[in-house]
This record gives sequence, C-alpha cells and structure tokens, in this order.
Amino acid sequence: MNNTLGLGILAAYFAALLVIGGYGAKVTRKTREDYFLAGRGLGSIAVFAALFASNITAFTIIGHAGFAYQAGYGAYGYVIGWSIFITPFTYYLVGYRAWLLGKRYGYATQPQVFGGILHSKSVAALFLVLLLYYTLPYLVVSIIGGSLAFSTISGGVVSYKIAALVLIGVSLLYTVPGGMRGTVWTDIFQGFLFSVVALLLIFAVGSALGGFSAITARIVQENPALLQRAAAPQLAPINWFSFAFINSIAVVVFPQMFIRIMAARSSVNLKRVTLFYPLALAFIFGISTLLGVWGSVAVPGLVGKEADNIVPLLISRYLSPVWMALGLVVILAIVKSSIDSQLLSVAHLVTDDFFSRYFRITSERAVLWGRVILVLFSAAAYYIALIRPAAILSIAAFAFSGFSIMLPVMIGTLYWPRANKYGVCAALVFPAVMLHLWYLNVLPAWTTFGLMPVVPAFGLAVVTLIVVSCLTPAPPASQREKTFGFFDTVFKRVRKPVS
Amino acid sequence: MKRLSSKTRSILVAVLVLGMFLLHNSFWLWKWDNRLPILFGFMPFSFAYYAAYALLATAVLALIVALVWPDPPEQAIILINAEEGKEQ
Repeated sequence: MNNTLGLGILAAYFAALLVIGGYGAKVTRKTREDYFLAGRGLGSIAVFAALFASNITAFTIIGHAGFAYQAGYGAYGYVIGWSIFITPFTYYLVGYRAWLLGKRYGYATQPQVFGGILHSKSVAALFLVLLLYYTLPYLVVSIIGGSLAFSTISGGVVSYKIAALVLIGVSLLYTVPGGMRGTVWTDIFQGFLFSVVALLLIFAVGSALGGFSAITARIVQENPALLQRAAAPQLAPINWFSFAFINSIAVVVFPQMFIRIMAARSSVNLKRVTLFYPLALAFIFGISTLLGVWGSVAVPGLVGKEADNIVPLLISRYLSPVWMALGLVVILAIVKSSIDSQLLSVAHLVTDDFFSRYFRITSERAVLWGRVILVLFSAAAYYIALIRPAAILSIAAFAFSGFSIMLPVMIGTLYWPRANKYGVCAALVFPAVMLHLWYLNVLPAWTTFGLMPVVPAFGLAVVTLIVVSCLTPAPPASQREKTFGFFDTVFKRVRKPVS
Repeated sequence: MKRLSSKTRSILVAVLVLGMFLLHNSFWLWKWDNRLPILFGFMPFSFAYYAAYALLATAVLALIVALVWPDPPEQAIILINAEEGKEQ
C-alpha cells in the first residue's frame, strides 16, 4: 500500500467525511431534537442509508467471508437468509407504531416509548440499563474488529492502537459537532462507497481468478462439499433454525437502529426503506459469500480464525496495491458507519434517559451534555478496546441474543393493551438472567434441548409477558387510551380521510 | 383487497410471515444442492435460492405494506394534535 495513489485514496476518503460531517454540523441547530434526531426530518434515502450502513458491520466483509470460506455457499442463507425478510418486516411491526407514538408524544428512544406507554419509570430504567449493557460490549467488539482489519489490510504499517485511534477519532470529528445529521449524511456517502467498491471488488477478484464461471467450476471439481449445506456441520438444521432468532430479529432492538427509525420524516419513508432492504442485504452479503467461497480454492489451507483474513488475502495476492487502499476504504466505511451511530445512540440514551430524566436540563444544555458524553464514552471504548477484558468480550458474544429476547416485550407493549409494567419488567429480567446462566454454563446444556440458548430465552420472554401481565392488575383505561385510543383514531382517519 | 376486514388482513400477514419462515427452513430442499445445474455459471442452488428468496421477500413485503400499513398517517397526527390544541 506504499504508493501515492493508495494514500491519496485514503486521504480523499477522510477529507470527504470531514467536509460532509462539517456541513452537517453547520446546519444542525442546538436543540435536543435537531442534534439527536435531525429534527425528525430524514427522507427515504437518508433513513435507508442510515439503517443499512449501521446494520452492516465488519462482520459482513471479514467474519462472514471467513465463515463462507469454511461452510461454503450455505453460509449465505444461514447468516442472512431470514434477515432478508424479517429485519425489514420488524421495521413495520415495531418501527411504524413506535414512530407514530414518537410523532404524537415526542418519544425518541426505547425507554421513552415503552416507559411512556406503560407510565413506568421502572420499565424505562430497565430498557436503559439493558440496552447500554448489550450495546457497549458490542461497540467495543466493533472497534476491535475494525481496528484489526485496518491494521491487517495495511500490512502492519498502521498498528492496532493507531487504527483504533483513527477509527474513533475520525468518527468523533463529525459526530460530535453534527450529531445525527453528521452521522446520517456521512452514512449516505459511506454506504454508497462501500456498495460500489464491493461491487467493483467482486468483478476484479472474479476476473483475476479466471472469471465467475471458471472459479465456480474449480470449486465444483476441487471441493464440491462447499455446494452442499448438508455437508457443513456448522449449518446443521438445529443451528440453522436457532440462528434465525439471533441476528435477524435483534436489529430493530439495537438503539442506533430504533432511534434512526424514529427520525424518519414520514411513514412513506419507512415503507420505502422496508421495500429496499431485502435486495440491499442480499447484495452485500452475496458479495462477501462469493469472496469467501472463492477464497477457499484460491487461497486454500486457512484454519479457524485465519479464514477471517480471506478478503485481505485475496486482494493482496491477486489484485494491484491500489485495491488494497480501496479494500481498506471499504472496511473503514463499513466499520465507521456502525461505530458512529452506536456512539451517538449511547450518548443519546444517557443524555435523554438518564440526565434529562433525573436532572432538569434545557434542550441546549442537553446537546452540550450529549457531546461531552460522546467524547467520554469514546475514550472509554478506546481504552477497553486496547486492554480487551475477557468479561466484556464474553458479554459481546451473546449481546445479539440479549437484544433479540427484548423483542417480544416491544411487540407485546405495542400491540397488546393488556400488557402491563409487571409483565414487561418480568419479561425483560427473567429471560436475560436465564440467557446468562446458559451462556456462562451455569445451567447444563441439555436444558436448551439442543437449541441455541436464545430460542428458549425468547420463548420464556413471550410466556413471562403473558402470564405475569394476566396475573397482575390490568393497566388503567386512561393509560391504554393514550396509546391504543390514539392508534384507533389514526387508523380510522386513514381509512376515512378528513377533508 | 379494500373489502378485507382488519382481522382478515392480520391473519393474512401472519400466514405470509409463517410461509417465509418455512421457506427459510426448507431443509427438505437441501438434497438438491448438488443436483441442480449452476445458475449463470456461478450460482449453485444453495446460493441462487436466497437470491430468489430476496426477490420474493420484496414482493411479500410490498403485499404486507398494502394490507396492513395505512397510508401516510402524519396528516391524521397533525389533525389530532391540532384538535387537542384547540380543546386546550
């Protein structure tokens, strides 16, 4: 990567981010709603890019390609198959009703929406604690993964410490002044950039390997097991079924995703995002699947975690050095677009749902607090990413599952008027405790019936919500009217438009 | 479709979601992974299946949007907010 053109590409990428982020900062007003939610004015392209770019992490290009290297073409359906449909469906199922309540009552985060529906500070506090508990380790792991990839693909020129500093530092340069607008506008740029470069990359690698058909024919000849899902032990049907409960349904629960839905200008924007999403997910994961499987014959012999380096290895062995710079830009764009949204959502949650709730602060002061918290959390995340404590990494291993088991509570609260604060608190705490007992091997493995722990924990969340809500007093009529009466009124008006 | 009750629409959506889940967990089709020809020379069945699944998902989501996602309610919200303002 020691060539002028490569360095020029990197410099142009960083300069573009700073210019776009700077402009975002220029038009952002110093109000809570404008800084954290871009004034609830995001159009279709902005919401789509914001959600998609946040959803795609280093795992897509690094981890997933490594998995496809080992498991074959079946990795595509295993990792992203169910997400292709259910992730955008949850944008309707949860996002639409939550967005309506946000427009009506000014809610912006999950603690506000679900604490507001149930008139419960306990529910709001539980949501806040659980979301931070799962998001922070996930954020640190994103930084670790991105920094390792950055350092590897630079051929060691950039050390891990410097890579982490660059990732966080550049993100802060446009996130702190620009808030949501800064991250969303850069996400539009970064999402477009990584999609286009990834598309060019698959054609360049395919061409270097003799063409799409030639490399596929070689796979059929040399390693036909890669075509068969039944031949891959990782894709055993019980794992395949269980995995559907992990990454796909967790997405709408991520605070950075939920908050961005709340920032949509209209429900038409959300509808469009829902319709664009399946093909976008299939596209980007399709590319990383092909790169991984092709790599298994082009660069054979990688074992375990070594396989995660397959994309950098394909680029370094088969393409010119300029592609290393372009590959690095793809990795940076993917990683940074996730990190900045996670950092902003954490700052938003702590400012709005902790400081604003317990200390009366003005809208302008909330923005100041948000910026300070953003910097403090970034510094803490950087430090943790350097020391990589085992406890944090072990929580991150089941953070996705932790998010997933909060979904029944979110759906139940938005659709079932009988759901009450007791049922919701129990359904948030009990399955989370069980999930920890399973993942930390306190409970024997047979208690999950061979499934991944997330499946029984998800079932427990559903049962607990229903049973505890039915055994305890129903929510007062006035409380139900506030949410469900509002839904009825809106939906009736939609069916019979008022002239 | 306009004649369908909201209950029927909700049931239809549940059936569509269940159908998509079954199509994702279509283990009975796995035996075709190495028997069917490779599409366009580079897409084996296990890969092409999910390319087609993505197209189907888009169509099913479009149907769900038409069935249960009412058209822009923001106007209704503005009206409700305005009416409440008048009452106060």
